Amino acid sequence: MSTVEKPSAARFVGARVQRREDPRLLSGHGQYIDDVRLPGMLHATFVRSPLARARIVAIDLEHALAVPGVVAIWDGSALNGDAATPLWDWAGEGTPFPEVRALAEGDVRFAGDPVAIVIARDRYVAEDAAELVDVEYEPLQAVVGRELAEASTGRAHDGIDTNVAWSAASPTDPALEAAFAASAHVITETFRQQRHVNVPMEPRGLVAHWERGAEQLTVYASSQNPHQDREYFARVMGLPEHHVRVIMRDVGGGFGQKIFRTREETAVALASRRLGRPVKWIEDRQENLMAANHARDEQMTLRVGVDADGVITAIHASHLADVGAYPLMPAMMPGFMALEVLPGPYRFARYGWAGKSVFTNTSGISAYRGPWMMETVAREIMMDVVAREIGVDPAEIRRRNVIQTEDLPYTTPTGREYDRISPAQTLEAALEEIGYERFREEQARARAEGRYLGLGISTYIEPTAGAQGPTGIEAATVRVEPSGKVNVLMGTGSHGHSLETTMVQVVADQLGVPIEDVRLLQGDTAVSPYGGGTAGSRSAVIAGGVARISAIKLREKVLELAGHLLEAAAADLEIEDGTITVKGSPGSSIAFADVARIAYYDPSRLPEGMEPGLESTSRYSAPPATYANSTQVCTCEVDVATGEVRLLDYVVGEDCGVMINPMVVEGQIAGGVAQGIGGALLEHLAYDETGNPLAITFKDYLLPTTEDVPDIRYVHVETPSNTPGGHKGVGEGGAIGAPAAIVNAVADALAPLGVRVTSQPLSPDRVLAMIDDARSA
Amino acid sequence: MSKQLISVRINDELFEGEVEPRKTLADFIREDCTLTGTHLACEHGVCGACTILLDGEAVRSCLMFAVQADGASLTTLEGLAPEGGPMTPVQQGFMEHHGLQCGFCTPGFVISAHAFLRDHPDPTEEEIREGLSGNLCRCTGYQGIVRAVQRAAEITREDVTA
Amino acid sequence: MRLEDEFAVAAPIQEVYATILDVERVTGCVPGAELLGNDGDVHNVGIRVKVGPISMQYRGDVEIVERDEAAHTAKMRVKGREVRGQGTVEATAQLRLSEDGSTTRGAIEVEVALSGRAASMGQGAIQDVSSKLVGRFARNLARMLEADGAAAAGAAGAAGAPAGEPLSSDPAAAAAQVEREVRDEDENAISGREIVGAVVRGRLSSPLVSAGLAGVTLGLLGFLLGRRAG
Ligand code: FES
Ligand code: FES
Repeated sequence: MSTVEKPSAARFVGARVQRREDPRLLSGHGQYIDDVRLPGMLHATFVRSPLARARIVAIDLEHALAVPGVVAIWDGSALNGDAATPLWDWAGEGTPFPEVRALAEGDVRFAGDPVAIVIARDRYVAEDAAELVDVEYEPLQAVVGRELAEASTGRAHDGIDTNVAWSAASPTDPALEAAFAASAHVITETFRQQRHVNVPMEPRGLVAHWERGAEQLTVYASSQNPHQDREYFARVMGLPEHHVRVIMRDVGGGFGQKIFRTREETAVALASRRLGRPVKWIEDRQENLMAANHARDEQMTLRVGVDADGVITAIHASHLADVGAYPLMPAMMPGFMALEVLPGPYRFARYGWAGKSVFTNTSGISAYRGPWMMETVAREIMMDVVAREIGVDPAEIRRRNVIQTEDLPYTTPTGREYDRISPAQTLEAALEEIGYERFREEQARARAEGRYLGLGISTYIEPTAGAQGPTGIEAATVRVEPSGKVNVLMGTGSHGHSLETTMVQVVADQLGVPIEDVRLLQGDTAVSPYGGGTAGSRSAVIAGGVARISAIKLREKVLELAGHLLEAAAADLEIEDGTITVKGSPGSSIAFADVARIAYYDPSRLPEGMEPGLESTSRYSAPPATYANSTQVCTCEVDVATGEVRLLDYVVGEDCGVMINPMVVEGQIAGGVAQGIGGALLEHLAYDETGNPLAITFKDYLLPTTEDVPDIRYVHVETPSNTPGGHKGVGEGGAIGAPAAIVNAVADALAPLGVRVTSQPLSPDRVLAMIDDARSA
Repeated sequence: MSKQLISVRINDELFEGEVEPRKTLADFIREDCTLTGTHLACEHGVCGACTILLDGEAVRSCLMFAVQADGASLTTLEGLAPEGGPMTPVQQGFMEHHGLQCGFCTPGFVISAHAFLRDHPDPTEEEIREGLSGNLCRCTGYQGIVRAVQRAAEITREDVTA
Repeated sequence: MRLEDEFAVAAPIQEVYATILDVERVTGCVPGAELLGNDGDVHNVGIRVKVGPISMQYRGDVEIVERDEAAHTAKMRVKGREVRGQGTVEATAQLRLSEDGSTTRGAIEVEVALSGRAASMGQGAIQDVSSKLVGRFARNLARMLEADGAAAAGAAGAAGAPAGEPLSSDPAAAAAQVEREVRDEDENAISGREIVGAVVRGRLSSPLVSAGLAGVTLGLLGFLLGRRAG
């Protein structure tokens, strides 16, 4: 199969098709988790620890249980035994992992740790009762702070006699040291990134319903991947997988936070099984900021050797991550991924690394849109540091190092194999679009007037659609119903990703039917074939790929049947707008709907040996990674009196292969960029030294608004990948590239003042402090 | 807790209900009236997802008690366009310009945009950005939203001159 | 979190000290405070802070740790938790009285460890508002001393008396008046407007900020109560 050419009749793929999701969401008829109502449904809320680290001395439920309308209250010792322990486990040789249970038992390990679940007839009553649960704590020393954890005399976890969760390094490499020794310049700098929260606008939640008659657990989930949820609930609750059904309908964003089901969601499912009634839990925003999983909170020290022209000769990177108390990924992941992806878009041969993760008494870390993006933050800010130090223009130093088309295929020092990428092209395209030279002139004029303008560049290569384990495959059943209408059944978990539109575009093109005649059904394990869900920029590549494969397979059957009916060879037929015609003889045709009807209702007219009906199911596993590449360039003005950073212009040059829907591609990029702007300028989930989270409302955890995100312009370069359809992932890139571009722009603006910018967020007070520091230095 | 009888007109339908004085207007709309098109994303008055029109004014229904709306007339997202009828210019603009992804913030933006455009029929981009800065969206980076409102103003002008 | 504040009362140090030792009365000077019971050196207290629609109540124990009557200093430890909710407060409060002419100056240092909503939402504002709280305490205390003066001498007005309704010359009426004013203050211990100014970077002044103030108040009270117990 030739997989890279555009579809035969590309009417929809590549077009800005309006979204199929929108009419229902714009009229208030979406079905989000809190919109689910079942007869007899009860409501859950959690009693949470106010302390980061403490022994639970006693729990008194008496007053709480006396509240009218309360059905049950269970603490950890009463409920945890209903589930397998631990709920998840990533312990290994030299990598300890805490025993994860639904509710805290014996001790608490972060502020927000769920201690008891309260079930009541409505949420008001449940919250009343939760307030009256009397928990006596004996405070213990909390481990707080990424850089303090290892040496702390406290322990984040009972039973783990170290706060180091993972530590590893590349073998000593004399060639690396020799390369540093031979370098004209060796520059070392540490970059820090504060703790973020994904903040989907819809917080977590679920409705769990243990149906006694069917002995089935039905879970309505606010999720990214229903099939993985089904496996999870079956495993931890000791149920056969075919007695668990997970349904996700509209989901108000996830950004990685909703990949895995969490301790609270597990407790709700356990409660439903005990009670034999549906139980709903809807997290509030304070809980989401305090106790849902967090992200980032890491730092990277880079040592970079360059020759006299600024060409990189060697890099050593060391990474430190705070993974909190109960990370939703192996503790090695943030560091390992970042260190592995770090070489990025540049050619260099010598690389060494070291990584460490620490447990702390804070909410656990999970994936957040580009969970390895510290590599781009550190590498791209470092490129500007080096450029400034050796007196080379920041665009020029990137040109001298970026991988060129003639270098392909190219293998990075960490073994990643690049092909069909265009980092040099997206770099140039973005620089041209922003008007690089013109800006430099404007900047010089502004400086002369005492105004501080800056430009920042961030270039990166994004591994997308990583395909392994539970996320290795995607499946599509394309079913033409007897009327000729088409249902596409997939295991995707679109939650804002527009897959109801893009997957339909792919299938409608291949089947040659009107786009309105095709519908995607996803998010229900009882309906869809197994799929890995929606995360890791995988849907365009793997789901789009398999939708195409399955549709092509079905198209072949449709044509074979139509050819039989029209007494023509299948190869001589074409399908357009729901009609199958013999090429060159328009009089000889049959409606797609008639072929469908015959396939189901008139089997005697089928060719010898053809199975009735029109349906095809395909499964597809993509290559281990498909590489997208991008450069973001932005300009800003910094008001040195107030410390305010205002973004002036923003350009993203992106190559995500063949675009299914450029409108959706740009939407994904813009959303990611906005999150990057938030991380660079505003967002910070800070803890005080005793482990109190200090930003648990939107008053303190500041998200970017319409006034913080400028107009974003895009330049698309389309280098098809070698996967079916030629797509590459695009979901995470915006968020990966933005912080470094913004930090570089601010650093560039303030360079005349001698300011060094190595951490975020660049809030007005911190910008002023940096200016003060530089002035007094 | 003693309940109070209230009657509220929502989208031209009269709803009567007995509510505890502490029940928020948002919960009354969503639970008692089963109009779930109004969303709650913070419940502390910052995100704007719960915005509705109360006697024509945009208000945050999470910050009001249901009893405060007794006798009032409300419009929620469900009531902007007639059932099965054409979308409003704002809804049309959001559709054309990808003003929503997950759709969770959308009720608040669409309602706020309606109130905004009524007062600013011919807004500049800056005015739109300022007018909608009290609503949070985590998905779109606001690109499509700003353009959607510009487009809605344009459609409205076309409708008037047509 | 460490808070430091000072107050001044236009009354002799001995008189201030003696008044403060009367726990039932001094409790009334602490905005929102109530003495619930005594068990030797341990005093069970309640604190209510109300801002706008949100009211937070704490209950806790106050225990004397150190006390030096000659030096007019004392130190107490406070441990409490929310009456409705899971937040906790632990505080150590240190008071030092000193003489400055006819005025008595008090220096208060409170080391507060808060958890729960108060800790998460209040810390920024608490620092700014705590001085208002201490100021109000000082004013209440001064008034009470004034009322004492009136009762003893049959005449109102200690030097430097704070602004307010002139006190009745009838000692009983004056005492009742003070009590009433103190109680009124309790009804809105810290006004919403005072909080708004304190929230520097917020987009909205959340009434929940008041939560944190309860902890501060409790710390303040703890220090005051302990003195008499010693
Ligand atoms: S839910 Fe009402 S403003 Fe956020
Ligand atoms: S569309 Fe998802 S929050 Fe706005």
